[in-house]
This record gives sequence, C-alpha cells and structure tokens, in this order.
Amino acid sequence: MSTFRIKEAAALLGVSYDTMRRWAEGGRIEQVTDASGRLAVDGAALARLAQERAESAAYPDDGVATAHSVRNRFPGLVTRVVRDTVMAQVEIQAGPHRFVSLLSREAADELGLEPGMLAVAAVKATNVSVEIPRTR
Amino acid sequence: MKLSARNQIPARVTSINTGEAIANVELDAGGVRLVASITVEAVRQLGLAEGSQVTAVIKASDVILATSN
Repeated sequence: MSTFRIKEAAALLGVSYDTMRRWAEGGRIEQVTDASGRLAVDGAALARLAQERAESAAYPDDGVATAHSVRNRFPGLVTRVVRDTVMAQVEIQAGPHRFVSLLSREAADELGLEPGMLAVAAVKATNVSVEIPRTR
Repeated sequence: MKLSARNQIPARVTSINTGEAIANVELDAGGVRLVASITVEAVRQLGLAEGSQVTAVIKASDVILATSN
C-alpha cells in the first residue's frame, strides 16, 4: 500500500499543507500511519480525491474533446515558440505542467502559434511511459 | 479543429478488433490499408463502427520511410 505524508499529498494535489491537513483531520480523506508510524494518507484514497477534484475543476473548454481518439489532452497557454527553417519548438504551460512539443515549422506557422495563445498538448496513450520514483 | 499533425488522411473503417483495453481499427484510405491501435474507450466515445468515416492523423516525425534496396 502506498502512503504519503501530508506535505507530499498536498504537493501532489497542488493544495497547501494546511488544506491537506484540514481535509485529513476533517475526514475528507482518511488518515493512516505510514511504516514509520507517522501521520499519512492512503495513496488510493488520495488518487480518488485527485480525480474528483479534476472532474469538478473549471478547465478551459477546447470544444473538441470527443472529436478524436487521443486520451491525454492538456489545455494550456503557449509560453514560448522557437522557429528554425525546418522545425519549431513550442512550450505550453498547462496548470503546473510544462509541455514541450517539437513540430514542423510548417505546422507552427499554419496554426499561427505564438506566446499567449490557448493550445492543447495532446499525447496518444501508447506514447505515455510510466516511472516510479526511486526515493519511495 | 486545427491540428499540427502534417498527415491527415480521410479513411473508412473496415473492421474493429476489440480487446479488453485496446482495439485495432482497420481503415481503407483510398485503397491503402491502415491500422489504428486506440483504446476501447476512444472507440466508444467516437461511436466508431464499420463504415464510419474518419481521419487518420499521423505526426510527421512518426513516419518511417523504406526504399526497395
């Protein structure tokens, strides 16, 4: 069973330590003790809470969520566009996450990509790899 | 919808082989056979069936070229 200290859980959900502590004490998420006997929350319960919060959050609506098969879509703001003669590097800040896309110069020009635009970083599910941090 | 992908190929679904998580969707793109491996969730959400008109989208950096020699 994965467990997370209050501080780690707060960082994973993007809330303050005080908020996570209040949720744990108020029963919004069950408190457990980790292997060292310290106050923690259960990983599966934390994952459910993260999912609930994401579903109710007011993300910008790109209007095309059902138009194609890509499972992973992150609406955000274009922060940087670097063009050379053949390729372009585009950076999108979607919530706390920075996405980098390498695409052809032709595509960047056709979409008129420039900083400040709303854009969706889309990644096909078969291209997402999974890592387990070694520190845990 | 504007997409950055350079290859957008109109096609028709000829068959769908559905597994637990993934479905292989066979396409006829003007006589060329293409296969898309997508999640079963995506098949349902797009309402795909035999005969559906779709667009096969392939990012240019994912296309491999071969020659005959």
